[in-house]
Amino acid sequence: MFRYLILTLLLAIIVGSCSGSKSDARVALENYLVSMKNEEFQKAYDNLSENVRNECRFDEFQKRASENYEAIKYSRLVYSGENKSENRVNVDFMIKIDDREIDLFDMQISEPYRDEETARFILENERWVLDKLIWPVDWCEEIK
Amino acid sequence: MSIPRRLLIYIVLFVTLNVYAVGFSSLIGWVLDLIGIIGDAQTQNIAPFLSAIIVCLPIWLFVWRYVNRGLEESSYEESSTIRNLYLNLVLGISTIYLSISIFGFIESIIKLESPLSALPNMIVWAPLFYVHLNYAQKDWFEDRRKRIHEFYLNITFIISLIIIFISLRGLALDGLDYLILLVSSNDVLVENSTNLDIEGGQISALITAAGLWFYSWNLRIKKIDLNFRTVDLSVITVSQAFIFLLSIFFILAQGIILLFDIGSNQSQGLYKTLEFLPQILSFSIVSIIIWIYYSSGFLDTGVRKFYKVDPSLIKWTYRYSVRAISLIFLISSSVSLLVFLIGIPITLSDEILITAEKKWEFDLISASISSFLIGVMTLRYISKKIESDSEVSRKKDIEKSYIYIVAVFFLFFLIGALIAILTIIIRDLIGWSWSLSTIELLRWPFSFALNSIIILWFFRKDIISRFRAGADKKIEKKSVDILSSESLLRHKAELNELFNVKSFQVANKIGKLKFNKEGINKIDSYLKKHEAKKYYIVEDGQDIILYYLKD
Repeated sequence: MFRYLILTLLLAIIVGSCSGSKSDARVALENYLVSMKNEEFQKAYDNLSENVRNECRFDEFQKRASENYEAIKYSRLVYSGENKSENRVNVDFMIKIDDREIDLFDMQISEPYRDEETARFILENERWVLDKLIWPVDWCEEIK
Repeated sequence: MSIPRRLLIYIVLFVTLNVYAVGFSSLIGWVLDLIGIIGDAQTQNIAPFLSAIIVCLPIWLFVWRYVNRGLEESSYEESSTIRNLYLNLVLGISTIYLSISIFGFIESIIKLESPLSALPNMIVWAPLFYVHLNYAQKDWFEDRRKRIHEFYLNITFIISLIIIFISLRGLALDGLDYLILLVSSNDVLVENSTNLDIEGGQISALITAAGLWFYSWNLRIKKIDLNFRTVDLSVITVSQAFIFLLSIFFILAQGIILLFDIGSNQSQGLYKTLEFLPQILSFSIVSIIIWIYYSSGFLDTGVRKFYKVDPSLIKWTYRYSVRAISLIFLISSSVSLLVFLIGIPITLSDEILITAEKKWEFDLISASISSFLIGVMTLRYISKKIESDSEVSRKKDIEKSYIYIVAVFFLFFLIGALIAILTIIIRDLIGWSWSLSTIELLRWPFSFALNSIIILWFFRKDIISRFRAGADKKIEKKSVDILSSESLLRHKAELNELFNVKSFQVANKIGKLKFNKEGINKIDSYLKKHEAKKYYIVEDGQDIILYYLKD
C-alpha cells in the first residue's frame, strides 16, 4: 500500500514541478505584491492598467495601501494557478493571514477573511498590467 | 445512614463546595485585579465573594468532617452510591476547571503573556481535586472499586484521547504544510516573518490532554482488565484503522485525479496541487500512531506490547470490523464505477446545453479505482490474518455478529435504494417525462440497490443459516446469578463463556454454626459484627453458614 502511496506522491510532485517557468503575468503580479510589501507604492501603482489608474488616483491608492499595509506585512501569499484567454490572464493566489498580529476589521478590506484572490492582467504597451484592484487594496474610494 | 438523610447531606456538600469554590476563585481574581496584574478592580465587588466563602466554607467543612467521622463507625458508608456519586461529580467538575486552567497557563507561557489569569481556578480546584480523588479511587486495584469512578476515568480517558488526536493532527498539519511550502517555495509570492506557523493552543491542548490521558489510562485503566476497557480498545483500534484507510483512499483518489488533469488548460501551482496532502496525511500519521499503540496489546504488529489485555474477544472483533470496512470500500468502488458507466450517455448527450458542464466524471473513476485498491488489499491482508490464527476461542461468536451486521446494513441500503428508485419512476410515470435527467437521478440508487443485492446474494447461505430459528437454539445459554465465596471467582472467564452471567457477586464467609436452637439464636450477634449490604443464611447439612455481601 505504501509503495502505491509513495508512487502517487512522486507523480503528483513531478506533475506539479512540470508546470514550467513563470509566466510574464505571474512575474508582474510578484512585482506588484513585492512593491506593496516594501512600501514602494508608486512602483506598485505603475503596475496598474490605465483604466484602473484613471479610476483611482495615486494619492488615494497610496492612502488605502498605507492603511492596509499591515495586512500584506503579516500575510503569506502563495501562487495557486492561472488561466489564459485571448489577451487576458487571470492569476490566482492564496492568502494566509496571521490574524494574531493584526485586527483585520480595522482595515478597509472588503472581505477580511478572504483566502483566495484573482488578479486580472491585460497586455498594455507590451507589458502585463493589473486590470483590477486586488487584495489588500481592493477598492479606492473612501468609505463614508 | 438512611438514604434521604444521606442524599440531603451530599446535596448540601455539593452545593456549598461549588459556591465556595466559585467565590474563592473570584476573590483571587479580584486580588490579582486589585494589584493590577489582570485588569481593573472595584473595591465593592469583593462583597459577594467574601460572603460566599464565609457562608459556605464552614458548612462544607462541618458536614465533610461529619460524614468522614461516620466512615469510621460504618464501613458501608464508604461504598454508598450517593457518596461516590458526589465524589466523582466533584472530580469531574474540578477536572474541567483544572484542564481549562492548565491549558490557559501553558498557552500564555507559549505566547509570552502573563499566565496569572489561569491561576485562580488552579489554586482553588487543585486541593479540592486531590482531597476528593483520595476517597474516590480507594480500593481501585481491588474488587471493591467503585463503578462510578470507572465511569469517570473512562470519560476522562476518551475525552483526553480525542483532544490528543485533534491537537496532534493540527501539529502534524502545520509541520507537513510547512514542508510542502518548502518544496514549492517557488510559488511563494510574499512571505511574512514567521515561516512555521504552529498554534500555541494546539501545543497547550496536547500537553493538557496528555496529562489527563497519562493519569486515566497509564496509571489506572491500563492496569486492570475491565469490561469497558475492552469496548474502548475495540472502538479506538477500529476507528483509527478506518480513519487511516479513509485518508489513504483520499490521497490515492486525489493522486489519480491529478493524473487525469494532465494536459488541461489550467496551469496550477505546486503548492495548490499538493495542498490536499498535509490535510489528509496528518490524519494518516496520527491515526497510525494511535493504532500502533492500542493494537499492540492484542495484535502482533511488530512493535513491543505497550500493555496487556486478554486478546481472545477484542482481536476477533477488530479483525471482523476491518473486514467489514474493506467490504464497504469494495462496494463503494463498485457503486462509483456503475454510476460512472451509467453516466456516460449523459456525458455524451447533446441535451447538455452548457458546454463547460460537459466533461468526464474523473472524480468518480478515481474514487472507484482507489477504493478498489484499498478494499482488495485490506481484505486480502485481514483474511490472511483470520485464517492463519490458531487461537479461535471467540471467533465463532464474532463471525456470527459480522454476518448479522452485513445482512442488516445491506438490507437497509437495498430498501432505501428501492424506495428512491420507485419514487423517481412513479413521479416520471405520472408526468410522463422520461429524459436523461431520469437516468441521472436513477443511477445512484440503482447502483446501491444492485450492489446490495450482490452482497446479500454472496452471503445468502450464511445469512439464511444464521436467521434460522434452530441456529440460535443450539447456542442458547442458561442465565445464572453467581454467588462466589472464593473458588468460583478464579473461574469467572470460563463461567462467562458457558453461561449468560446476569450477576457475579462475591460473598465473604462470617462463620459456621450448628443447626440447632442455640445456633439460630447466635445468628443475629454474628451478623452484627459485619456492616454489609446483604446477608445470606445458608443451610448446609447439619450446619448453618453465614455470609455477607459487600459492594
